[in-house]
Amino acid sequence: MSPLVRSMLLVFGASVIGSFGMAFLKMGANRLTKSIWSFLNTRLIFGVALFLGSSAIYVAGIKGGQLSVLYPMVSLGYVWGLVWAKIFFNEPLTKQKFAGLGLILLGVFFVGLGSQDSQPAPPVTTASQQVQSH
Amino acid sequence: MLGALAQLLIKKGTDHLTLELMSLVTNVPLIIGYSIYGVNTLLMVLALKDGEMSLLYPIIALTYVWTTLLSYTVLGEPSNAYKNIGIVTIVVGVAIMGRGGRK
Repeated sequence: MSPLVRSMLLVFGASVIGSFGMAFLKMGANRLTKSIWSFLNTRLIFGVALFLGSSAIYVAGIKGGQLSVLYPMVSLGYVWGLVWAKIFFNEPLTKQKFAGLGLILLGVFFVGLGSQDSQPAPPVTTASQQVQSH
Repeated sequence: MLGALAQLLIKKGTDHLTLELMSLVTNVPLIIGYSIYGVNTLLMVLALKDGEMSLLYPIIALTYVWTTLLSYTVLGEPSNAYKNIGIVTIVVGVAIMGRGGRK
């Protein structure tokens, strides 16, 4: 598997896991009471665990370079999030939400595109290739 | 905003990341970064208590805006057109989403 495909799969997985993490945070947040101990509910803890897992996978994935591809894939999590919000919490999906999300994805793509050059090259090139490119 | 700071520190931390457990535990920027993420998550939960998830989740994308601005100011990275277009587009997107929320 090429490093980019591997990175894309990792980041894709991270976006799905992260979006579930957010859904569990929402479920947990809905159960908060005035007591500070209500923060220790299973849904919140599970949500945080999913976030940690997702961020570990994300860090592993993002090392493969090509941020213009990987950044928007992270933001795919927002799309899943919208779907879960509809299914689990019956939140209305308005035109503005779709339009706004579309722009956000586009913007993230551009930021990724602009971040490309400042990223160190992934260590896939051989020494001879590096000599040629200099 | 806090998320961006956390990302910056974690990125700094991963610069000298090795798989040995001891070096992970003593990687200060990484640890501070994740601690800020903790505070960040706490604030997010408080926001979610009364807010819509479909609205709040994409607003996290503002992290990209703060990260970019921080990398300009703190890391002194040169500004570039793609990034600038990107952060403006994200801000407009978030503004439009905000208008689509439950009144």
